Amino acid sequence: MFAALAALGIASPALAYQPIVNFQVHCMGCHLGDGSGQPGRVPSVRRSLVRLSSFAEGREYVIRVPGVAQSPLSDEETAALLNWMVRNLSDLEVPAGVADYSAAEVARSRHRPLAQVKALRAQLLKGDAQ
Amino acid sequence: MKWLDRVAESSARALARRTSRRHVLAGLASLLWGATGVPLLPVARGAGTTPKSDAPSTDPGDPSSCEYWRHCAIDGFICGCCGGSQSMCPPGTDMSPITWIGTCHNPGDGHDYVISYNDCCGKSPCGRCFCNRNEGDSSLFQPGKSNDYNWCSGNAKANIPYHCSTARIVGTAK
Repeated sequence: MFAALAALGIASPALAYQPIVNFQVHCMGCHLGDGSGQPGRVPSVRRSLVRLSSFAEGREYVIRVPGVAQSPLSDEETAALLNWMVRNLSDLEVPAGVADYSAAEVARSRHRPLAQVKALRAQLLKGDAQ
Repeated sequence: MKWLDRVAESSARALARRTSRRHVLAGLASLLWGATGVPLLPVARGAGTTPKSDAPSTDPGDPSSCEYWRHCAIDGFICGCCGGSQSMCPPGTDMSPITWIGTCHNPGDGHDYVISYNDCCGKSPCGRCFCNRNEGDSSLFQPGKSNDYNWCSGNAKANIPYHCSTARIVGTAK
């Protein structure tokens, strides 16, 4: 992880904060410290993020939700933050085939933020909206 | 071992002569009653999941003043002036778990800290020690980065009135 971050650091401007701090500053205010959110208001990431990250449409959705797409973080910082969340805020095992988010992947989708989030989320998670 | 029996018997009889059963029951009851009161005191100790505290070695300044370092991005009434503190809500209010978070520089140890300005909700605005410093605050079009919102509206008890703001340390910003 740190080696990967260091490699990113060489390729792009250095990351201002570690991913955990970016999570605290940009996400935790609503999703809470453990990512569990608030039922009915703020969705939990604890079961959904790993599942969504394991297929193309789900990954695109994660990058397009307003909090991710419109955050003031760079593409590199956003990718590192999502990878930190997948590893640290999930109740589910991360399957071996799930790739890390990359800055290029974030850049590809974040310029099209979602206006209607709930319906697409429910559709992608097939009813298990946890 | 007969002496032990005698000691036990005489002390038990002495206790029985001095106290009544009701007296013992009453004492026990008041103990239990007192114990139930302890966790019920009307103080909100934190929002749902308490973040891991990364306490600074020095915490200079007066927590009830606007100049206190943790207040660098606050917008509201300081809970320390309203019967609470920089980390606890005043009696009769609930801490909103959903909140506005910023970073502040601690002049004591020279480090930056992530500060969570959880609002205390459920009573009318406190009205004392208004403080609006806004470091790192952005406009309303970035809702997660704006402290102008009434964060009490994200509370489980929706739209209950705003009373004051805390300034809790979440961790070191590095």
